[in-house]
Amino acid sequence: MSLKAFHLLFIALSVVLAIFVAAWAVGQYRLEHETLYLATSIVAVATSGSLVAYGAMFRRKTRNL
Amino acid sequence: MEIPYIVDARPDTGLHNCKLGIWLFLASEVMLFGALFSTYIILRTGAVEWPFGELNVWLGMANTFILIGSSVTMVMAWASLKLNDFGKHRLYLIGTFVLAGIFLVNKYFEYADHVTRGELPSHSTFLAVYYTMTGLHGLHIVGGMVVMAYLLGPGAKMWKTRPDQFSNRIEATGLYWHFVDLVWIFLFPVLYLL
Repeated sequence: MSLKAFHLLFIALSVVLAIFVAAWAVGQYRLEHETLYLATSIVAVATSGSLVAYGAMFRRKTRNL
Repeated sequence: MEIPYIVDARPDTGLHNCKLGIWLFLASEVMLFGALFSTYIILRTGAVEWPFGELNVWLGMANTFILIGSSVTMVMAWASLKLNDFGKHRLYLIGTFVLAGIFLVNKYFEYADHVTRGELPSHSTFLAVYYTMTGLHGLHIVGGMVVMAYLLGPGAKMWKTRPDQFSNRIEATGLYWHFVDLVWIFLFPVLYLL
């Protein structure tokens, strides 16, 4: 496996982690009603979206490498 | 006598020596960390109660962002070499080195906080697992930094004489670095969130 492919796999797993963190933060918010957890879940969802966009851009830009 | 397949891939495996070597090493690393994760699962499922909320989630989360960022700078360091831009390659590699350093500084503060509260590995099974797994991961970060320091210092001379072999070395370093980052992607939720 090349570094390019391994990087894309890593980004994909990071997306999964970001979604998991969002779900965890929502669970904590339901338990403790702290705004910090709600903000964390929003940031985690935004991070997962950004990582998907980055992965697509990386794949496109390194097609010829 | 010239050593074969240093730069070009061997036709039957499709790999050059450097890539074959790093993947064999990473396979052994998978077994090492796999054994530790298995031990963690056995200890946790066998425990009557397991502590929750003892670790600083926010510091762990910051370190996750730092390592994801460092994987981006690492792959950019390799891509810059492929585009023959040695200056950019150095900048990205220095960036990766700095991010690794920040990760270790955060880890130091985390450990120091536990130690001042008397939370040493002997305190509980959870802390023993925590120190073992994050400590071993931290040592791998230090190992990666040593390799990067070499490639930024004396090892960089190779770019002038054998650029393809140097690119292969950077790719192998990148593969190792991504593996270390990947271990953290599993360690963070397992130790900090669950």
